[in-house]
Amino acid sequence: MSTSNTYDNISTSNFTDKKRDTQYVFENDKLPEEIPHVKEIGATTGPLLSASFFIQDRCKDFNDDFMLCQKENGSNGTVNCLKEGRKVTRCASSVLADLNAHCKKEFEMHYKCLNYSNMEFKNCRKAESLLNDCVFKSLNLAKSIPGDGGREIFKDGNQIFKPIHPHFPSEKAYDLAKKNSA
Amino acid sequence: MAHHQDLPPVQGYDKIQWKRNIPSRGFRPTIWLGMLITMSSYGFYKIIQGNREQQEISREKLQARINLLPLLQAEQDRDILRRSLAYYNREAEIMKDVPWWEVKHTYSDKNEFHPPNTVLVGKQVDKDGLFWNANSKDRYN
Repeated sequence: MSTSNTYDNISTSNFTDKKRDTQYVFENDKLPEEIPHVKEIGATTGPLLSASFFIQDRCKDFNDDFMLCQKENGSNGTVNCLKEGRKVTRCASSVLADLNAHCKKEFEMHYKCLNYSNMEFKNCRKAESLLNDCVFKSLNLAKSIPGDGGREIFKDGNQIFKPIHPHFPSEKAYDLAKKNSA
Repeated sequence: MAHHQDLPPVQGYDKIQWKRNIPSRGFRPTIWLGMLITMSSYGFYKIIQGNREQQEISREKLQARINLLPLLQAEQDRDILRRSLAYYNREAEIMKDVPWWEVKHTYSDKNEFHPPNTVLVGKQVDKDGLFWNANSKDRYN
């Protein structure tokens, strides 16, 4: 996606300062004032992947709008689709904020599991099940994979494969939740 | 004188026992074949189920990334625009005394946004570092 080097680790620590050949990009100005500011999402792969299906459920219109704008504008999409891009980012941030407000425990459990298991959803079905339940109850967002022919691979009991290296905290939390609900 | 030829006995010889006199073990061959077919059918069934599930898992992963694509691209676009504008502003500032100079990308026209292919990169050094940190105090003056 990137067409230019954006390696801009301007370090704040003595240690990396003193490392040789630590380079940064000179062009680090702010965007001009007429372009409204938007806070970047600031989340890493695990939380983003964990929230991705909920982001899609809530922000589908914004996302499609943005991608259509990119398609129409071609290489000018970078300049012309800033407004749509801001909407996309704000919507995704709202999803993450809501997840943190309502389902913090389950969300953390799931993205820790993802981090633990190399971002494989199949290793984290139990944590995911807890998260999906909580999110559906409190935010009314549901995960769905388009075109899976009703074979909802992420739901309980729809899997053949079991995690080779399970994430024990989430397995334990799942068992506890099952025991409490039973 | 009558000639007598040596002939077999009238009631025939005894049967030759060419087979060992032990009971045959195991099932009939058809049953073995049936078992083979049943077991391998079950195995192939499970393999096909597993392959389908594997495909669903891949699709799920792909879909998760597709869902994040607009978000990541929006962020990247803002960053690229910010840096490109900064680059061209710097270029205009440097070349302001050259009247014929036009700030634009070499391989692009004015109607198309094309981020500069050149990146100005600086070295991150500690101002208070000593000479073994590859620093020179004069550089900052």
